Amino acid sequence: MEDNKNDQAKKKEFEELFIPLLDNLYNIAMRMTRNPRDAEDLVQETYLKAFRFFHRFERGTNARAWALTILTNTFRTRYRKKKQEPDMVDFNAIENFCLADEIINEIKASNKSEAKSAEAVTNVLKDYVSDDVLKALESVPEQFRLTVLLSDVEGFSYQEISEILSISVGTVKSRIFRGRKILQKLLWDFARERGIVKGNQE
Amino acid sequence: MTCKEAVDKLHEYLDNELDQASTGQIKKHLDICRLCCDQFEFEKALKSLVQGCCMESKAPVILRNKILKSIEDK
Repeated sequence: MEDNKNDQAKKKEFEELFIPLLDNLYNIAMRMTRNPRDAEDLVQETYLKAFRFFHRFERGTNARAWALTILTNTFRTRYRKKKQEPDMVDFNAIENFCLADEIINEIKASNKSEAKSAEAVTNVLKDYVSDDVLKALESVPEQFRLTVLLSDVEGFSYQEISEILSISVGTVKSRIFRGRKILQKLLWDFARERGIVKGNQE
Repeated sequence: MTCKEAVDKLHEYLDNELDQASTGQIKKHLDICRLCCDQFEFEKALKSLVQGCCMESKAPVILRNKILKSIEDK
């Protein structure tokens, strides 16, 4: 009887802490697995593991960070082996890539006036539909994508991300930097393909 | 602070990772340098674009129910 009561209390506490995080976890899972079916499996497995190891969760600490640690570990062990991504990133080409500069050059080339305001540059971003952005994001190699997501979407600090991913703060910093550059390059290529901007002909 | 120094720290500034002194220095630089300021505004807009796009989906109700049921069944 007493055990049963404890069980119910534990379930209630777990649900109150973790069910409100479902959309967060699902969105991250979608961006990592890139399809709804795997995302659902990943999220479900994450919840089952979180419940199983709930006794290890330190009350008062960040439940979202804890759940995302489980999710990313599960993702890494389960899905990484399935689809090995080729290392197609040429860092030398990307390190210095700056989408803002490309857009500024484009505006200069197509517009005789000096429309080099921040507004003009950021306006170009508005021409991207979410599908474009998501597609570009999903093409960023996993380790960079995950780090950028934890920073941009989940708003974690570099220290928190380093704990979630078990990597150093320095590595977090460089992955965020590189991840964003890769994303910008992909968005740029995409914009050129789609004719959003003309781009400099090579 | 030079443009190069500012650009090197731009992402950390954007992510609120800099200490007070560096934050002050970069703020000062952005106030006087149009180019760096434009770039910062752009990076900021891109960060929120990514955030907005990634928050759009809701987890399917069926998934929520499945999870709740699997916890209840434990």
